[in-house]
Amino acid sequence: MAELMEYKCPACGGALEFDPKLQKMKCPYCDSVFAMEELAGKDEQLNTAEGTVQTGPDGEPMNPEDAAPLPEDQLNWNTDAGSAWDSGETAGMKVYVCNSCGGEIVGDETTAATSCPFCGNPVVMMGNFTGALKPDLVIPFKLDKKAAKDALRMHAKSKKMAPKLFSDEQHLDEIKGIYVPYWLFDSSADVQLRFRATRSRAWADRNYNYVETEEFLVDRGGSMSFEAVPADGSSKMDDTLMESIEPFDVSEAVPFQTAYLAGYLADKYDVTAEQSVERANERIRKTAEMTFAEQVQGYESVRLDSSSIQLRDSRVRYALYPVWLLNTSWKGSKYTFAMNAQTGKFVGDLPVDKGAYWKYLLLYGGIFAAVVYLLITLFQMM
Amino acid sequence: MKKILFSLLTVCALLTVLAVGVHAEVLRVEGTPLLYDGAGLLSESEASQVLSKLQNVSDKYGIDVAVVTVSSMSEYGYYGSSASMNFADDYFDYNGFGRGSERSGLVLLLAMEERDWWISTRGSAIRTFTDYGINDYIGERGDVISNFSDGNYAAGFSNYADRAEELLRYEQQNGMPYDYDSDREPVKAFSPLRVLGSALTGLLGGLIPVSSMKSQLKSVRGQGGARSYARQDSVAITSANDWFIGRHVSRTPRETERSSGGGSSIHVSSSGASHGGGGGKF
Repeated sequence: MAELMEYKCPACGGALEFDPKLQKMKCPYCDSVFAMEELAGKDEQLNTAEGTVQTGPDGEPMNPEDAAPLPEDQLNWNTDAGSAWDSGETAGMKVYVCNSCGGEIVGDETTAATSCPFCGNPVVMMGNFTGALKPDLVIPFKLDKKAAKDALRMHAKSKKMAPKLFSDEQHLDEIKGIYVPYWLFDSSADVQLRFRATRSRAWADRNYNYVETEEFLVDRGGSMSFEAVPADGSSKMDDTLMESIEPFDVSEAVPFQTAYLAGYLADKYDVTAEQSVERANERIRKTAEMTFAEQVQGYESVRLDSSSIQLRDSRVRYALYPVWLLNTSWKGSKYTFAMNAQTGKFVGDLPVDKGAYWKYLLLYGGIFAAVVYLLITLFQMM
Repeated sequence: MKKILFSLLTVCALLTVLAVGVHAEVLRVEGTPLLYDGAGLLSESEASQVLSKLQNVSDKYGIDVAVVTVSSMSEYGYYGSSASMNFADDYFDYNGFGRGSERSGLVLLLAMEERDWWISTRGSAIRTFTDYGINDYIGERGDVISNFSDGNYAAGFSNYADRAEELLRYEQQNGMPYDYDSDREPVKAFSPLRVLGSALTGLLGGLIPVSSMKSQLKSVRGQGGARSYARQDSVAITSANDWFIGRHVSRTPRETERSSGGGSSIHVSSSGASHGGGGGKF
C-alpha cells in the first residue's frame, strides 16, 4: 500500500488541492475542477488491514475519472536509519519520500498530511488513516488563507491597546491550515438536582423593620442529550485555544475522505478517546446542571445542595476539524492565533502596548477628572 | 446659723454678678476695624492678609464681617456662661459695626483665657447665618475652630472669611439661607483637596474603560460547558418538587427621625438690638 497519497490532475498531472470556496478539488496549474465523489475510490484501501494488497472493489469502476494512475508502491520507511540518524534522533520522527520529486519529507509520528518541502506538492500519509485511525467525519475547510489573514487584521485592529504591528500582514511568521483531530462525544444525561432556596418579604411598624425568610427544598429532574461535544485529540494543540474557537457545526461534516486533506496539514490523534472523555463529561455535566438549575424560579437565593448526573447512550466518533493557525512574534515572545475555518471565529491573546495603555489611561482619566470636578462644583452651586 | 450664712453668701454672689454684668466695660475701638487683634495672635503680615480677605467679603456682600480677639473677657468685666455672647454683641453694637439700615454684619470673637469663641450676627446676617450654619458649617466642619485649637489662628480666620462668603453666596443663589435641611451644600472656595480628589477619582474612573480595553485583548478562553452541543428540544423535565421547610423572622429597630428645627435663634443685647449667633470652646 502507498505510504503517501497524492492527487494528480488527470488533465495535466499537477497536484490537486482542496478549494474551500468551491468545496471541490482544483488543479492550481490548469484550473480543472473535480467533485469530491470522483476521488472517493482512492480511499478504499483505508478500510482494509494494513499490508494486504487490495485491488479495486466492485464499486470502483463506477468512477471513470479515477483513471489517474495510482502511485507505485514504495518502501518509504527509512529502515536503515542508523546509518543516517542516531537512534535517539529518529524517535518520534518519520521520513517519507515524495512521489513527485523524490525529496525526503520528514514528519513526526502524528503527521498525517503535509506538503513536500522541495516541490510543494501536497501529500497525505495514508498509514495514519488506516483501519482504526480512519476518521468518521471531516468538516472541510470553508475559509481560505486570505480569510484567515483578514481575520487577524480585523482582530488586531479592533483592539485599540494592541501593538499596531499585529494588524500588519508582513509581520506574520507562519500561517497554516490544519485538520485537527477531535473526539466527538454523544451522550444523554439523566439529571437529578436538589437545591435549597429562599424567599423573603419585608415590612415595618413604628419601631421595627421586619424580614421574613422562607426556606424551601427544591428538586428538579429530567434528561437532556448532547451531540458531538468535541475534545481536542492532539497533544500538539493547546486545549484551551482549541476550545476557544468552538463551536463547530457537526451537521456540515461529511464522511471522511483523504482528498479533503490535499493542500493542508493534518495530524492523527495522539490523545486517546479514553483520555479525552473526562473533559467532555465535565462540560456535559456543567451544562446539564445549569440547564436544570434555570428551571428553579421564583426564589431570591438558590443554592445547589446535591446533584446526580448519569450519562448513558454514550458514543464516540473521530473527526477532523479545520483550523487556521497563525504564528507571530513580538518582542521575543511568540503569539499564536487560531481561526475556526468553518465559522470564522478568530481568537488569540494580544499583548498590551504600554504606550497605548498610558495614553488611554491619561486620556480617560483626564476626562473623568474634569467631569468629576465640574459635577462637584455644579452640584454645590445649584 | 450655717443656713443663714449660706443664704447671705448666695445673695452677695448674685449681686456681684449682676453688678458686674451691668458695669461691664465695653471694648472700644477706633473706627470700625474689621480685624481687631487684641490678644496679639497674628503677625503683621498675617493680619494684613486676614484683613484684606474680610474687607473683600464685606464689600462684596455689603455687610460687615469682622473679627475681634481679646486675651481675657474678665478684664472687661464679662463673666459667666453668656459672657462671650454679651461681649460680642456689645462690641458690635457700641463700636458702630453693621451696614445699611439694619446694621447688618457679624463678628467672630476669640477670648483666649476663657477659650471661648462666639459669632454674633445682626440685621440680615441673622437670617443668613442660621444656628446650623454657625455651629455646624462654620463651627464643626469649617476648618475654623479646629485651626484655633491647633494654634493656627491666621488659617482659622482666613477659613472663617471663606465660610462666611460661602454662606452669603448660598443665600444669594438659593434665595434661602443654608440650614440643616438644605438639599445642597454651599460651594467651597477653591481647594487643592478638591482638585486632588477629582484627579484621583478621575484616574480610578479612567481605569474602568482602560481595563475593559485591556481585557478585550484576551480572547483565548476555555468553554465552560457544552451548551452549543445540546440537542434542541432534548430537555425533558420529569420531576419538579418544591417543599416548604421553614420560616423565620428577623427584626431591626428603626432609626428615629431627626426632630430638631432649623432657623436662627434670636436674643436681645444690652443695647436693645436683636442678635443671632452661636459659639463654643476651642
